[in-house]
Amino acid sequence: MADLEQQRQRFVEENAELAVIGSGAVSHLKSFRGVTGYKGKLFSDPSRETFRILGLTSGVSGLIGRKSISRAFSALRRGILPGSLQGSALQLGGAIVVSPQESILYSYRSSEAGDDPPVEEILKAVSLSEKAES
Amino acid sequence: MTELQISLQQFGKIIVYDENSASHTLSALWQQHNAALFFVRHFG
Repeated sequence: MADLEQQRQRFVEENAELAVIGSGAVSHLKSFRGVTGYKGKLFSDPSRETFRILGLTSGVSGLIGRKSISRAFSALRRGILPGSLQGSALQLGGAIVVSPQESILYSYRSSEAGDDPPVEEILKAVSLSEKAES
Repeated sequence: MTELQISLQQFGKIIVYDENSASHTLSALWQQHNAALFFVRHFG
């Protein structure tokens, strides 16, 4: 998700809303912008109700998968050291695409830490739907 | 892609907060356009 701001423009071109939602405290949102450079819609759901409904919760097993270990070593090789965790350590991520007609066009649940939602697939879901409506 | 069966009406009523602590109803995000919502594990 490091290139989030770069990806945001692609969603704008598809006439879609892009929002990033985390589970940490509201006070962490500004530092997230600072680290990622993301300028789009950004929210926190401290209650984690959205995560619960989408089934984006995990036990410890989801945090020590192959992808998470690979990502961690990759980041360390690039000189990126882990910072303090701002949110729930047992939380997994995901994505959902919703249309104004209230239908779910796409959804993705990360299977482990480091398993980011596939941006290309999500853009495709947004794009196909926009073209079908026009 | 993951199969997902939820009530969007219920989901859309959830309140999220921006960095100014202003509250927003989730459904407002998809009122005008398709909305891609990314849920991140943590902000750190």
